[in-house]
Amino acid sequence: MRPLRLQALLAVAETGSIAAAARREGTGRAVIRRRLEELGNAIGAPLTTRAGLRVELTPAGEAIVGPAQALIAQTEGLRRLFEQRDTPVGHYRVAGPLGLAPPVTTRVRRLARQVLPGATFELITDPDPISLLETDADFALAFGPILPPGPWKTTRLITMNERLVATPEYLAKHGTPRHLDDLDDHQLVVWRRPGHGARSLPLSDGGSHPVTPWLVSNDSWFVWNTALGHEAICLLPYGPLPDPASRAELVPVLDGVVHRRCTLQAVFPAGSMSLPRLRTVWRLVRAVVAEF
Amino acid sequence: MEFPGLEALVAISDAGSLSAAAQATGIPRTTLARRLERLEAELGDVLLSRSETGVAVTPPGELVLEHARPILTAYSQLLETGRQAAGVRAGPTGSDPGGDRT
Repeated sequence: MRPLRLQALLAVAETGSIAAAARREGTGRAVIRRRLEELGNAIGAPLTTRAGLRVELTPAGEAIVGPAQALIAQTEGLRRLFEQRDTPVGHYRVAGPLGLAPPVTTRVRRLARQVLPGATFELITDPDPISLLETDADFALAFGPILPPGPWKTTRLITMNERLVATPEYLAKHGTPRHLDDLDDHQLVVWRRPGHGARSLPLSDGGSHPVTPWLVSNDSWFVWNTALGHEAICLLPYGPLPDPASRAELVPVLDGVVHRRCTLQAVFPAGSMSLPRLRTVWRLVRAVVAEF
Repeated sequence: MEFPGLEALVAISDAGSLSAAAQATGIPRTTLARRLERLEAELGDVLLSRSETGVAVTPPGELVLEHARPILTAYSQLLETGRQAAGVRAGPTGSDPGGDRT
């Protein structure tokens, strides 16, 4: 956006020589001559003329020095406007996993408002949100901690617990399991975390318990709704800030027995750190998350 | 063309799509897209969001457009001032330098 031809004209006007103008602009004499020629062509008349060792402006060149100064100041003003923004105000395309459930989305929305109060967003959900990086999304939200290999910069947004839940109504009708084997008598719906199977439940002691789920889904919101519909005992990621309404409706099952930590991470392409708008988001997200 | 990125931004947002802007300006759409990408890289923000149906101006894009139109108008006036001083009647067709070179 730098008006290089106008800058060349001003440099020659102020120094009186092509060589001095080239030094001031940090380029070669041929480049300065070419820029002057191009600007002169746009006008239809030469802008400089030789006067011995010095270069002088023609009437056309003289006439546009003032407007050129004003125009350069205008473009510099626009550039500074963007350089000095410490809070991004842009539009961000965010790739997210399928079916983020309310406790998680509540937290993510709060983070977004806190970190980027002036920005607007588009959330694109996909079973593999990381696959959308660099083409359709600026950054991605992905369940971790294990991610597909790639040149990523990641930061943890939320730590969740995978656990079994059901409604009091379901448990009143079908009974409350006291032992892992009691699950054989229940409808079991399992959220399949990316990169993991769904034929075993994660246990607090690091082990696993084999199960035959009635239904498996990679959509945690779908599983959440199945639980709220009094239909099954469900394994799902349970966030730190449950929706108050949902918290009252769902109760833990085999609490302290079935459990695994799960994180939601913000994933940026490592190459995007050269872009101020994403570098700033990365810095702000890390700073805010560190306060939790 | 001293401000190829700004001209591309204005042309695309006015026309509603890259193809329409290419048709209106006679500049190939790949050239327009490249000029816009350079401007976005320079300013560090997305100015137009692209979709299959066209483009939409982002909030930073609106900010740039507010400045781009006066800048382009002032540049046209500057060229005209030069022509009047030189006694040239009108700008020579096709002699405006391509903006991609520096």
